[in-house]
Amino acid sequence: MSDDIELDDDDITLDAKPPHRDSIQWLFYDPRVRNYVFAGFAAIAMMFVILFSFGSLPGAAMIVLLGVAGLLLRWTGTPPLVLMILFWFLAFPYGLPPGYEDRYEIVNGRFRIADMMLVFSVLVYVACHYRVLGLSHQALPFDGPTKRKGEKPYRRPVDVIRAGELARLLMFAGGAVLVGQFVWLFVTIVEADPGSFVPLKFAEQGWSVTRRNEPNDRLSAGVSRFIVLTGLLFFTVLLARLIFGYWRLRQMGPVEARIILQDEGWNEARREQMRIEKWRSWAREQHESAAQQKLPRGRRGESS
Amino acid sequence: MLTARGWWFLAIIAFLIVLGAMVVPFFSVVPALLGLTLLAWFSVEWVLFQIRVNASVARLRIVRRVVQGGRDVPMVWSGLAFDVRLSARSEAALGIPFLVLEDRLPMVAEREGGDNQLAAILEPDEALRWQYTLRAPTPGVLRFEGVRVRLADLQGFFYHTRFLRESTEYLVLPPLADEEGRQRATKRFNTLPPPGGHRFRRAGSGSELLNLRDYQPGDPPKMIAWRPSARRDSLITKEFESDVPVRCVLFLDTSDGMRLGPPGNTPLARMAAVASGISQAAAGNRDLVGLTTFDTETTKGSNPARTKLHMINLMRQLAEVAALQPGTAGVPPEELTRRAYPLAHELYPEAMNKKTNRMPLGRLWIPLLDKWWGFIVLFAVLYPTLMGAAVFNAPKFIWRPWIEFMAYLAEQITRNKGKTWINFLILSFLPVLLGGLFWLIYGIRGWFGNRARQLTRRKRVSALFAVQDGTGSAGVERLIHDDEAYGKRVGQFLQEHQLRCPVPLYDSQGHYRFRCAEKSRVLASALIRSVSRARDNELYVVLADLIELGDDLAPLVKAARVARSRHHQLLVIVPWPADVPPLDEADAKLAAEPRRKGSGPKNRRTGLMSVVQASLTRQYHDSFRKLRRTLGQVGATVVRVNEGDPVRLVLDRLDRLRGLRSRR
Repeated sequence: MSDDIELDDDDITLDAKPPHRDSIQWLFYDPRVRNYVFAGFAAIAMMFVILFSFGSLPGAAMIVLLGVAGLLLRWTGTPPLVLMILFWFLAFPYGLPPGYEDRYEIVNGRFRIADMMLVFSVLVYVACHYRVLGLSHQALPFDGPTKRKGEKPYRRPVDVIRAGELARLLMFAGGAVLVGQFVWLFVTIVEADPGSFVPLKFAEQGWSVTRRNEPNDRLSAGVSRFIVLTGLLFFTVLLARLIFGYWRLRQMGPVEARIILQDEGWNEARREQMRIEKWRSWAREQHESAAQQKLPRGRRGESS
Repeated sequence: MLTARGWWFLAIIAFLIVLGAMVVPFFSVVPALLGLTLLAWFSVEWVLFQIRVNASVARLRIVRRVVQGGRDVPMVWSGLAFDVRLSARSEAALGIPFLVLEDRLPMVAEREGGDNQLAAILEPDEALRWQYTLRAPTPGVLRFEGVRVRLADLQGFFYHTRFLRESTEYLVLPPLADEEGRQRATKRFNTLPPPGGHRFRRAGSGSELLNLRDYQPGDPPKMIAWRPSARRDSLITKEFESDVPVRCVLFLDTSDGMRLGPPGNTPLARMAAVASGISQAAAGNRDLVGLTTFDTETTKGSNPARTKLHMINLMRQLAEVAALQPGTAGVPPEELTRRAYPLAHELYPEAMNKKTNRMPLGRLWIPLLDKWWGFIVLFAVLYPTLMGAAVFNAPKFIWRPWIEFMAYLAEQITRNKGKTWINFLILSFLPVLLGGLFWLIYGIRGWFGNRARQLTRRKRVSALFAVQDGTGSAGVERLIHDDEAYGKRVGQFLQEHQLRCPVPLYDSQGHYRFRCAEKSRVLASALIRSVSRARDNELYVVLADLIELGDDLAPLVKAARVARSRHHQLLVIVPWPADVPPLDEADAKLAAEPRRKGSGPKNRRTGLMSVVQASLTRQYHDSFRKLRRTLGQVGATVVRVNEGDPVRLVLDRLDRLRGLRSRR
């Protein structure tokens, strides 16, 4: 019967079996994965264009090559490398120091569209790369500190991709860009004032230029930025730690709570307890050896 | 919480912010902006993740159902597949975009289909459902510990794992006696067979006619046989047979020696299956069946009965004993910790956390003064102080010779280099330096190496046990120091969670540790107790490993003699190891095996192994023959059950022993 049916190659249009997850074809097989891949490519392309407009062709080319290869071949270390290269070529667009120094860069760099687009692209690229890694390489860390023999990495199933996930990512990225701009604005318009009750004050116009290297009696702009940034980070982390720490305490189960209390008690009394236990061990050994000696000679081995 | 990927990413962000804001802002502000933007995004992801963990995962509830034969069951039958259906629902208003739920499989079950793991999106109002199929090959106890929840963000920066403990135990009842049971059930003569299928030719209240005799005053009128009376013209009374049920009492050995072996394939599990088959077949004949389990110390039994409830209780008892594990006495504490720690870490991750269950460095320090010679070092360290005190307070004859000797020594050294008083000081404080250094090195060794790891793990496990037992902080140190108490508690923990620990079979002097000689005495007293309570001739079936007992069988032999003297029947069924050939086969194999040639080391080793194995086999066979002879002399029958022996064989022997062919 099967000999009677002749099929042309053109009739077979769809391969039912999906490609292997490690293959490049798999990245383009499912539309949900494909979206992330294309979003990553688009972000890389945008980075290329903006870096090219900054006059940094070698940096743009390197980022494109590394980014695309990393995304296709799922290299785990690509995003940090891309960020490092980007940092270097932003500071030194032609690839070698010294770069072009602008005294008014801090003032002029606020809410600049090209910068915002570049930052947005980088964020989208990083997020897409890591999400593709989660889908095709590893989504959950290994159970132990190191990979155990025979342990396979857990990959996020494609079915678990929610509808509108990419749109939400783009929205978050846009929000994060704005937050970053506002934080940078805050850092550059206020000045640390260590002696006063509120150790912050609005800086005068152009202070970042005039007090760039003036550390005599007042803080220089760089040190002030460092202090403001550190303080901002410290108080944000402190607040988050307080909120989530308290929430965590509220959620704590009875076993965990009891073990924490017990551990505190043990830490207080462990030296005394150790001494008591050593005496007990010693007494037990004495008792056993005495009992051993009371036994007739032939049965001493049996009792052990 | 933060994964390696997350830490790396955070480090890059810190690098970008620090250099972007401090070093290169006059070249470009983009690195600083980039760093701050990435930090903002990272922080938002962290906050969202924390909210999901605290709000949603903490309120996750799991419902488990075990379905066999299309309905929810409180216990399952071994050998038959059953479904485990789970549903997870969170009461929180926030969903989780990606989580993995994994139901921890019970130890004794095999997965036949489906997946016990589910990766899903948890929506606030929806329940996640998944199911898989299991099969328990042998009777025992199925213990479901709970569901492990693993949660990560979509980028893989944060990770959280939690174990939702929901310990549920299901008994795995021994298989229903399929061939035997069904055969007996379908060939019944009526719907309600008489109690006991065994004819007892004495007048009684049975239904079978035994005899006709002359009427005696006092006979009930309903017993008068009217037709024969009419024919003979005198009153004739009918006599019926007495239907006496045979009472069968099973004695099942549950001592440690019977619990050895891989889970689900221990001699105890096999004997429990045999006991189940015997009891079900006997119940099919409406015989009364009782069960007594015994070990080296205690017995636990149920009197013979034939109700359905009794049979179910019997099955439950068999299932419970089939899951028993050997004790951990004699197992090194390190081995116990190696087994217990990963299990505790898996089931109680929040209690075994480094933050909650700490191990201070001070506890790892090795105290020098535990050794007697530590006081010598202490003296060396305190030597200048003691000497100073002696100079000012003690009589001269105590300190003067030593000081003069030191001064002389310093002077002699001064001839080569330095000044006398400097050398004197160096000589005086040298013991302090050396002693202090030795003390430091000696104590600090405890912070590193295997000892530190072992002690840390043992402390964490002990702390968990102390919390579970309510013994407090004193219980922690007790378990750390007392190996016996620790071994017992770990054994209990492993038994509870059905994790096997390899136990040494031989003690330091080469004796087999699981001979359990005391069980002979316990079994004998149980047998005597049954004999004293017996009503009619009963059948006692002992399912026990008695082969290794040798001369310790004496109490049992005595008890068997008593039982036989009261006309009871005694059948002893011993388990047979799978790796020991049966008697006939072994003899044939030894006769047929050609002598190996060659004298290479490999051949020598193989030859030696085969010689040892043959010797052990021969020894085992001799012990079995001796047991059969010893018990045979008092009228007991000894049979062995190896893996292939069906219950049918045992039942045939039972029937033969009862002196009556079965109705088949």
